[in-house]
Amino acid sequence: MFRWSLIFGKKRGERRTGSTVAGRAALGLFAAFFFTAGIISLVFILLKFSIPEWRANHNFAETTCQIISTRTAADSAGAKRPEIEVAYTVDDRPQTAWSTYDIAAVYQADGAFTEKILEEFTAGTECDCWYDPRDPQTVVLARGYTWFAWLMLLVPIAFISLGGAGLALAVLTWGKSTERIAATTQNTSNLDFLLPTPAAPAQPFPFVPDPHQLNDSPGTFLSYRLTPGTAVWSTAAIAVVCAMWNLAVIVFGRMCVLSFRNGERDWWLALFLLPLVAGGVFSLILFVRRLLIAANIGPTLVEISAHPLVPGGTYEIYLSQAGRLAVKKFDLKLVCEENATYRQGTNTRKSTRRVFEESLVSRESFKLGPGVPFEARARLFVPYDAMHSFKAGHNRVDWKIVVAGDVERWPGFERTFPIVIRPRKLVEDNS
Amino acid sequence: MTLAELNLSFHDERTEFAPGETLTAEYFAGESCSAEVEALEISVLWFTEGKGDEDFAVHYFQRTETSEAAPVDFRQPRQFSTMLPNSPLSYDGVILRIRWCVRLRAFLTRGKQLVEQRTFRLGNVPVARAVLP
Repeated sequence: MFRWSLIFGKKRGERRTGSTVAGRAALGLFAAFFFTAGIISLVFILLKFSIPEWRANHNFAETTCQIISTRTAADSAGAKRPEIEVAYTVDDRPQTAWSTYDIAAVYQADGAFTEKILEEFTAGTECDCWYDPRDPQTVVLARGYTWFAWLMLLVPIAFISLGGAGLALAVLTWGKSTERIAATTQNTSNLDFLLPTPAAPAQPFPFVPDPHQLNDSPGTFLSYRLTPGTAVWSTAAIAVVCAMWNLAVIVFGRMCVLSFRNGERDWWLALFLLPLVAGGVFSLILFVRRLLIAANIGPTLVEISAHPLVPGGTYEIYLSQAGRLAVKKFDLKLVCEENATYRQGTNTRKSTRRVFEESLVSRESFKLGPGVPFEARARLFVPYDAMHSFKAGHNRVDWKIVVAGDVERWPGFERTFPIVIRPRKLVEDNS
Repeated sequence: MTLAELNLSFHDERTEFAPGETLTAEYFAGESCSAEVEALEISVLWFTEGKGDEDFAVHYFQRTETSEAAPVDFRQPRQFSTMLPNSPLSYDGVILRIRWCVRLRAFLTRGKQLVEQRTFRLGNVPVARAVLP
């Protein structure tokens, strides 16, 4: 059955619609627009500002002129610029012209600036001036460089760079298969789009996360101490948001109190302040709760006998949980989760599914006191046919050790420790 | 013109491989379309299916072009071999699937393309099931 191809991508469940060719063409057009806009604005800035300024400083001929009269010129928007009528001689021929003071001849909203310049020139007096040998009627009374004539060039250059790169990409990939593009980009030394990629990959385990990032910390009892996945930065981020939010509450609150003191009674500001205060109180409660949890539920240490792990391998795990609390339920688990990110319109969404969970340690109803941490040792067996850790641009398979607890008078807590399980090699399989 | 005009087959008709094993396949263009073929691309690649946006990577790629100076008879069977990598293994998850395949793409005159694909399994990871809370 014939169907029109969608020119835009759309994710429907597990299927993404849309035309790759139309997508590439749209990207090419977008880049071409940027590139063209950059070229046009570069030419405009060069011709209007940069080159005239350069020529005024290098090519204009110096002479002495007599001031005849002055005036303030204005454009349709009311911006002003100074204009000075001068008389001077070029090759023994007398010339009279209106000078715009400098070569930029820019109209400025600040009228005081124009007046200040005009005060410098009095009719009948003489001063230095510079005229264009190509067009003697173009004359300036001031030379020098303005920052905007040169700094403004950065904008079109950025447009040309981005647009040019996009356009080059569109041209280079046009009519080429996704496999050919991928093969070329994966093999960066191969730039001619013709040679095949090497058959053997450079990495021993492609698309398996690097385990060495997790092997930084040696353990006290076992080989490695695992790094917690739930980092301290999340508490720090809450602290920053809490501080900024409540600073805004203080500033607007002070403005509101002052308005009522002065008898102005700004009710709109008071109304705007209500949700702001509620948000501030909520962020403060969240931050204090985090601090109390961190103080009472002490650090969790997990150590492992070897890393990365291999399917079919058996490993030792050591756990230490400090704190001052009464624990209702405590679990140490080996977990595997699938993670997928996908675009829905302008949003990026994430989906997670747990596909493996095995309890390694499970305890109920015990107390933790200061200086007496809860310690446990366990054996971890990775199933022989387990999927290895996998990490690509939008999809991941994550293995981790999860420590979860239900405690009295406190919300439950969960701390994760990422691990890497790499696939078995052919040699290992045969051994 | 139909997809059957591109022929792609695995050596010994194997469709399951272990990491590090060598995959051998044979391909050629059919009699009716071979005159129109300007180039053939053979690739071994993996791609993801499921809830997330697609990821894919090419493990092996080879392009054969014909020209007046060096004409190629695409009706002649061509064989290629590649040693398969250690990862990623084929995977049937709940929201993620990793598929390996050999893909043959023919570029015809007037900008048309034909694609023939054969999937295979790398490794023996069983189907995953969601853990209920």
